[in-house]
Amino acid sequence: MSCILVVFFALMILAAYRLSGMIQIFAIQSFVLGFVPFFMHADHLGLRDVALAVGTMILKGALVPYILFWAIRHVSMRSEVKPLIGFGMSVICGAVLIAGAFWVSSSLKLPGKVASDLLIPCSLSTVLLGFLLMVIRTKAVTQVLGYLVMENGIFLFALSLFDVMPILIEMGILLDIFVAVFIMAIVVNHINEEFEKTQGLDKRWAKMGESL
Amino acid sequence: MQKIISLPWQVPFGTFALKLDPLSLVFLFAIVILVVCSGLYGIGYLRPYKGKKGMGWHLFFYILLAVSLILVVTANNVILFLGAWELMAIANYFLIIFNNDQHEVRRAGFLYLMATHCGTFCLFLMFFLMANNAAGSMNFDVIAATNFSPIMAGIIFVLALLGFGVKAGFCPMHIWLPHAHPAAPSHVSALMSGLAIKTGIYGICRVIWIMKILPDWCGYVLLIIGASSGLLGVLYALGQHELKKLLAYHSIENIGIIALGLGVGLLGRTYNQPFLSAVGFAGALLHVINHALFKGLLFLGAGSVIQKTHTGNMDHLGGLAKVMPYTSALFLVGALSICGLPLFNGFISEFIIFMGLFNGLFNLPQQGIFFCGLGIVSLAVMGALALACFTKVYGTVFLGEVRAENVNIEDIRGRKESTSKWMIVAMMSLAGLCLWIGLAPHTMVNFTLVSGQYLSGKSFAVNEAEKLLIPLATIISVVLFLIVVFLGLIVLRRLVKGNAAPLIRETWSCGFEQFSPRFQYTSASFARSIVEFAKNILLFNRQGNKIMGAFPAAGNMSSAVKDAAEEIMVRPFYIRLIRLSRKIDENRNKYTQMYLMYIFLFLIFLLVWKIR
Repeated sequence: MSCILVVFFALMILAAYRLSGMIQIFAIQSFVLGFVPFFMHADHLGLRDVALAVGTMILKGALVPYILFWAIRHVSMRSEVKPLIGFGMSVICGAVLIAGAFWVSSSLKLPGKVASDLLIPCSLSTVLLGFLLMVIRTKAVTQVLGYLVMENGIFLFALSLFDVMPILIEMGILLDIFVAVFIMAIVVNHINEEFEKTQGLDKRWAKMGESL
Repeated sequence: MQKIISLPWQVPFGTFALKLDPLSLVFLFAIVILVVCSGLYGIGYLRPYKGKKGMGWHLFFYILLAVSLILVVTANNVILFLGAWELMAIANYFLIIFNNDQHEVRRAGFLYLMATHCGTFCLFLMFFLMANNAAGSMNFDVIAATNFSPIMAGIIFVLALLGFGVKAGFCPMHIWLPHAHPAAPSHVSALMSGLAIKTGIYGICRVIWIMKILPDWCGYVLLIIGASSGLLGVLYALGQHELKKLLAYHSIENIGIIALGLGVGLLGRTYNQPFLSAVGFAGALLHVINHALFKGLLFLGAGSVIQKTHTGNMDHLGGLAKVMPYTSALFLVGALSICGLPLFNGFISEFIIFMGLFNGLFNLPQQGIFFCGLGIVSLAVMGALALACFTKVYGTVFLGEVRAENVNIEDIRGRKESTSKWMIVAMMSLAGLCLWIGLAPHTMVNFTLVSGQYLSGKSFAVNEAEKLLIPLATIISVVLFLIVVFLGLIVLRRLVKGNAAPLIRETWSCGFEQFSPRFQYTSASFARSIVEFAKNILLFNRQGNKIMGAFPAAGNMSSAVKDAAEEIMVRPFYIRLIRLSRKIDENRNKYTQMYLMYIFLFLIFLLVWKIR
């Protein structure tokens, strides 16, 4: 159930108009994500599960949104989301991706037994939706948010293989650190709108032509 | 006769396996001698740079180059080999750009880096094809034990020729070589010319060893490459005015000679002629050692000249034999060796390759006879042209008078840079080895014959080696006898005419009023007749006004030889590439998101493709 909620919130982020709304939805998504370990190992709840759940809730449900809010206040961004394609269209794209994810995961072969049938398709859809968010929104903060949603998907995936592949969790933590650096860079460099459009390489080509 | 060391290594598919077999032994011999000698020379040569440049870095990369060279020729695993190969390229690059404040040097280094990576690309393809054939094993021994289909063998051989040929400097792929060798400091040029390009030859030998059965056209291709590289190399060398660039083109010539030997060996192996095959390979391998020795010596000698006179342009040099007696004598030894004259080592290996080619005339099928004949003719022409070329070099650099204006020989004598003891010792030991191989070829010929048999995979009757050694001994003793007679005649003349000093008179100067050193032959005018003969291949270009009338005005003339491979093949290609890149760049999307989308679509494509 909470898996479905995670995907649902990811879709909601796609449809959100305002930056602050996006961050709030992300916070709720991460909070819901924190409950997944409890449901998964309901019969034999270990210390590791609890630590994971609480850590996720605090880190992603509270700390990261707080930093993001602080960041948009600090560099005084405008709060509109700048879409490359419209909101309705992006939700439809998202729906197609979710369908694709369910279709793909039906034929995936996994090394271990999964707690719930929904876990893999949901995680895959969340990853894809996060990626979609990165593609179709232009602002620096939306890039970060897309990245974070993707990471939530990866977290879900890691949970499904919790016992078989412990290293995935550690990789998730590494991604967290990367996001932290990302946000810091936005604040430090005062990127209040978009990343600069990548510069043309004309000058560099000219130089190379001279050198040989 | 092999030794294998195998150590655990964390790299996927890699084992730290080293193997010492007769093939790597030959290259190891050359490496150890030349690394030590060039290192000794470097102590003296780099003294003027002390305090101005980071010597530590230079030393670090020098040692790195030495280690990687040794690893390349002993590695028994594909991954280890490729790792050492790249390490060698990078160390070499940093050694080339020692004088990195000069634009030309940086450009040469970049060109080298590009060329070597293009070659490595082919090597990657080749080795993975091999490993694929050997059920995924990356070990040379295991790969060598598998059978290759003729088509696969052909593809691998062509890739080896491309990949290793760039490093070795086979003719159309040599363009980096004449730029990189003059740019590096002289002791590094010696290493590059003597050893680094030989690793290309080593690679080809290793591939020949791995592929026990190769299609018969491979040998012919090697013969053609050898003939063309050799002839073009020496012709371009004749047209050069810059001492080190000339030597660089001679490296291409010698690589051609080595390729001729390998071609004969390969033909012998294909047509099941053990003796022919072993002789061909042995000649090539001995020439590898010999070329390392004499080309090292020549580059070191050129380094001494450049250090003393601050120029490598032969049209400004002259008369240095009076100032630098040791260097000039040692350079002469190198020059005589490279020309393949008896009593010196170049003669021995060229003679063995000649023997192989003549042997091929009798023992090979029809088309083999044609190609061997071609090889004999081209090798003979190469020898003659090399002799002309080094007559030009020695004559213009060491004999006569200084050709530059406003400089006379006393100025050069007075300069404080002097050829230090280290440099002399290094050159002397190389010259000594050249003479040793030239006068007592027995040891080295037998040594390389063992390697030749190892490469050909078959051994021949022991007494057949005498077929090589007896004529060699005869020639050497005849030449020694002639020299003794000649010296005897000199002594006789002294006894008869007494020890009177020769009379010194002015040269007859055709009635000119003023006598100037500029009347002398320059390097360009000396080689002119030969270069103009081949001007269509060499892109020979001569500019200047003809001197006419009784009272001519001031005139000037310049001539240059341009590299056809560079001007006709590489440069137009490069210009097209730049144009294409610009066009793509103009139509390029400027949004970061677009690139993310490409990644996204590709990811989905991969998922669907894999799962479908």
